[in-house]
Order: sequence, then C-alpha cells, then structure tokens
Amino acid sequence: MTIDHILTLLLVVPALGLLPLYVFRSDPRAVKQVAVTTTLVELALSLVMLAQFQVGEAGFQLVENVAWLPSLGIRYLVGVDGISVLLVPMTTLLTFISVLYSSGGAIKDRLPAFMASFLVLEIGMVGVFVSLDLFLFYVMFELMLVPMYLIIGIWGGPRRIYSTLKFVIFTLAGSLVMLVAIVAVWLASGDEGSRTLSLPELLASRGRFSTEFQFWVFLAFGLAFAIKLPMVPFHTWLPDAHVEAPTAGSIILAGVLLKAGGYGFLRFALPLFPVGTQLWLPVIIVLSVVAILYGAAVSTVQKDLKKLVAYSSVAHMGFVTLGIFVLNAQGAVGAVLQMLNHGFVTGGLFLFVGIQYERTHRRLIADLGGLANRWPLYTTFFGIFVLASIGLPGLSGFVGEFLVLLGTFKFSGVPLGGLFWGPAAALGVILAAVYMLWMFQRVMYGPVREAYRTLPDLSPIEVICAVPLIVLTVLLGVFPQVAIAIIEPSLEQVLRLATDPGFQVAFK
Amino acid sequence: RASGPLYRVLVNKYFIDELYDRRIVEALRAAFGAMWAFDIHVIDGLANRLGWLAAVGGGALRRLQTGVVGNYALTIVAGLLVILVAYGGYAAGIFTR
Repeated sequence: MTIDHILTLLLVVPALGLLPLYVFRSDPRAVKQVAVTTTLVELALSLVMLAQFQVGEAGFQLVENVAWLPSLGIRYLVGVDGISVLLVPMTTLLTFISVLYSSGGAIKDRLPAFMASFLVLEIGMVGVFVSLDLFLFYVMFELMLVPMYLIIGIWGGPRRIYSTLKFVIFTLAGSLVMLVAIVAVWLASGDEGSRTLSLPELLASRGRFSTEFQFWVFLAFGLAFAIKLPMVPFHTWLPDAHVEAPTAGSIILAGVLLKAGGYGFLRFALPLFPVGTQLWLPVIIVLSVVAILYGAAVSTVQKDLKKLVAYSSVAHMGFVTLGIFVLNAQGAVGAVLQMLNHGFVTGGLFLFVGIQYERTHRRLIADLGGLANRWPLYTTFFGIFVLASIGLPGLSGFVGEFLVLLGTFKFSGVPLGGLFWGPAAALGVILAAVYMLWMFQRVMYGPVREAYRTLPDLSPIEVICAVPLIVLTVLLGVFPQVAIAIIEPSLEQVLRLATDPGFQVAFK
Repeated sequence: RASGPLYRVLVNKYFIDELYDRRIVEALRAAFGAMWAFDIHVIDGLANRLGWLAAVGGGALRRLQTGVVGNYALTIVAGLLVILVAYGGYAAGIFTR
C-alpha cells in the first residue's frame, strides 16, 4: 500500500482529531475513544510511512516541496531519511501509549483539554522530525513547547507552575537564540531575492559561510539543542519538569522531546556548519563525558524515583552527543540507536514509575519496598526496563552505548585523545548499574508495607502499554542490524558533509 | 583457635568488605551527595538567580512607568538635551583628537 503525501497526512491527522474532541467534550468516554483512535491511526500511518521508505538510500524520501512564503524563500519542505524515519514511529508509538495510559483513569480533570494538548504536541513532534526547511523546523520546535507547558502546568504536581515556567524559559531562551541564527543564515544564504532556508539549498550554498560566521551560528544552534537535550550545565530544568509532570508528560518529555536536540545537531548543525563543528567539538565532547559521569553520580544519591530517572537521562543523552561528535560511523549510529533506545526504555521507566505512584502515592524510594512480592507482572516488566537502561547485552541499551564507546576509542581529534574520554565514559556505564540496581533493590525487594499489600498488579491497559516497548527493547537489542541498515547510509552522508576537507578553520 | 586474632581475620575475609564499605562506598556516596548539592545550589542556583535578577530588575524599572505625563515629557526633554549636546560636541570635533 502506498499513500501519497503521507508526511503531510501525518501532520494533519492529529489536527483532524481535535474537532470531534471538541464536539464530544462533555462525554469523557467519547473523548478517550477519539484521542486513542486518532493516535492509533497516526501510529498505523507512521508504520505505512516506514514501509514506504526505501532502505539503503541516503537521501531524503517521500519529499513534499511547496512554496510557502515565496517572497522570503521559505518553503513547506518535508521529507525523511534514515535518521528521522525511525524517530517518527517512535514518536507516534509513545504518543499512543501516553494517551492510552492517560485514558485509563490517570487524568481526571479537564480530560478533553489534556487530550487536545497531546494531539497538538504530536503535530509538533512529528513536524520537527520531518521538516527540511529551517523556518518550518523552528515553528515545529516551538509548537512542541506550548502543549507541554500546559501539560505540566495544569495536570502536574504541587510545584507545577515553577517547573513548567522554568522548562519554558530555559527552552525558549535557547530557541530564540536559534531564531536569531536562522535569520543570520537566511541573510548569508544568498543575494537579495535568492535567499533560502531549505536544507538542500543551504547545503549547496554553505560555502558562503565564513569561519567567524560558523563559529557564532553553530554556538546559537548548539545552545538551543544543548538546552533541549539537555547537556550539562543546562540540565537543571529537567529534574524539576519530570518530577512535576504527569506520567504521560514525562514519557513524552523524556521519550521524544529530548531527542529533538540530538536530532537537530545531526540534521542541521553538523552538515551546515562543518567549520563550526570542528571549532566547538572539543567543548561538546568534554561536556558529554562530564554529563555521563555527573548525571550518573548525581542519580545514585537521588531519593525521588522520578528525579533518579531524570538524572539518568542526562547521562544517557551524554552518550548521544558524544557519539555524534566523535564524527565516525560507529559513534553516530550508536548515538541514533541510543536515542531510540532511550525513547523506549526511559519512556517505559517513567510509565512504570507512574503506574506505581498511581497506586501507592509515594515516589520517595525510602517509602517503598517489597513490591515484588505483590506485583509479579509489574516487577518483571520494570526489571527488564531497568536492565535495558543499565545496558545489559541483548537489550537495546547495550548496542547504542557500546557503539558510542567504540567510536570514541577510535577518535583522536580531541585533547587527551579518545583513549582517555572513551574509558572515562565507560565508567558511567558502571555507575548506571549502581544506581539502577540499588534503586530496584530498595523499591522492589525487602519487607512489604502493610498499606501496599492489597494493591493490584498491572491492569490490562497497562500491559498493553508496556508490551510494545518491551518487544522493541528486545528486538533492538538482539537484531540492531535491522535499524542500522536503515540509519547508516544517511548518517554516512551527514558525516561526509560534516568532515568535508574542503572546509577548514580560517579566521580572518 | 576459635578466639585467636588470626581466626577473627579469616572469618571476616580479611575485612575486605568492611574496607570497601568504609573507604570506597562511603567516600563515593559523600562525594556524589556533594555533587548533587553543587547541582542544586550552584548550577540551578545560578539559573534561579538569573530569573530573580530579571524579576527584581523589572520591579525596579517598573517605577519609571509612573503614568504621570509630565514626568514622561520631562524625560523626553532631558533626552533631547543630551542628544543635542552630544551632537554639538560631535560637530565641534571634541570626540576626534
């Protein structure tokens, strides 16, 4: 089955769900059905899109190119390549799971508005991964912000206002700097009348970007992506946002929104600014390894489950930036696999922390314990996610981290060399085992509290939410080659553009 | 011998577990705790202080907006004078050596 304009359809379907959502807003059952159906259709559509994708080709596919603001050279240009084609189904799956879980009773207040926020959020997230015009990308990047602001701010915990404001101000500070850079790129892209923001055309005219220009523009793009990812030292919004966000919000925040940062580096910053990449690379590599060790170290002393998973995300995202910036195929493939793995595994971890909180109303590790005796199903699933997060071979976490470390060992273009930074990052894997297993032991084993004895194990809806994530975690861990075959050709092209010897640092 | 010092050392596996616990685990836990405190107070503290600065700065600047038109007119006249003097000085060449 081939569907024309499938990427546009992917952007339109969530919007189509908004109308029935508004019409049936007074009937909670109908609201749930509309939201679940819409996200399920979107998920199915994204799988059709994946099936239409020609594996092995490096360039953009399923491209749609329409003039949008012709006088400014801004186009509606969408397409997917090997890097984005897997991130889109990951997004639609996690959105479907979030909506399905939330319809199980986790959200009681203003349900139609909650579901509408998720549908709008889905447009923004899919849009970020398919946009090939910088202006369109920027619009989608900001479109993700507004619904998440509402999701944390309305359905969040006690400190939701502080947290959501912090999340928005941090992200906005970065993305507005990026907007300035986008305008600068537009001005530098050509002469009056031939200026453009579309990625393929910019790649053709990137020779016009001087070393000084690339230094500043890469910094501006990098700041936006570094805050979104987040990289140390711009990460402190993340633990606050996660602790206050409702479960579904945390799943999407960790599972998808963080990837927009890593994806942005690969899609725009690296190929467009090879000189800027060279100039900033040592800084980013050092910050990545710091993030891996620091995030893991701080995770070990967390008392709150959600904060622990949030800080572990900082460490995991350190592997993504490290893999991207060692500029070789192993590292970059590892980085993209790590993004997918983190989406499924950390999405799963937040889902299970949420399920547990829904029953016990406790998130502090010290208040829990002994749940394994009561919840065999929960313990099994949660245990698999915990082991995948540590990087157990056979599960998805291992492949990404291993390839990133392999790429780092081979890399020499950084002070002290890859043979210093690689082993340093590997220490983070050991720390991951420390904080994850220690947490699992304290939460799941030991004596069970009297109050938790009667709490039920997973409900059917919760099992349905968890199973696809578990299956993908195992599949990606056992047969990573399926994903690598899709990702690698496009990544190699990005790396060729980023390491083009025709672009050398030449300050005037 | 069940009570000898050698027995005590052997039955406790040369106290290696205790050594690890006391020297390494405790030390690391303290170090990681310090890093978390650094995270909250220094990195996040800096971010929060920036926000506080914006709020306080805005609060101070707010006082300029008195709503009294006379004050605004006075500021406009004062600004005009500054521009005139500066332009006059520029025209007279005092900024060029």
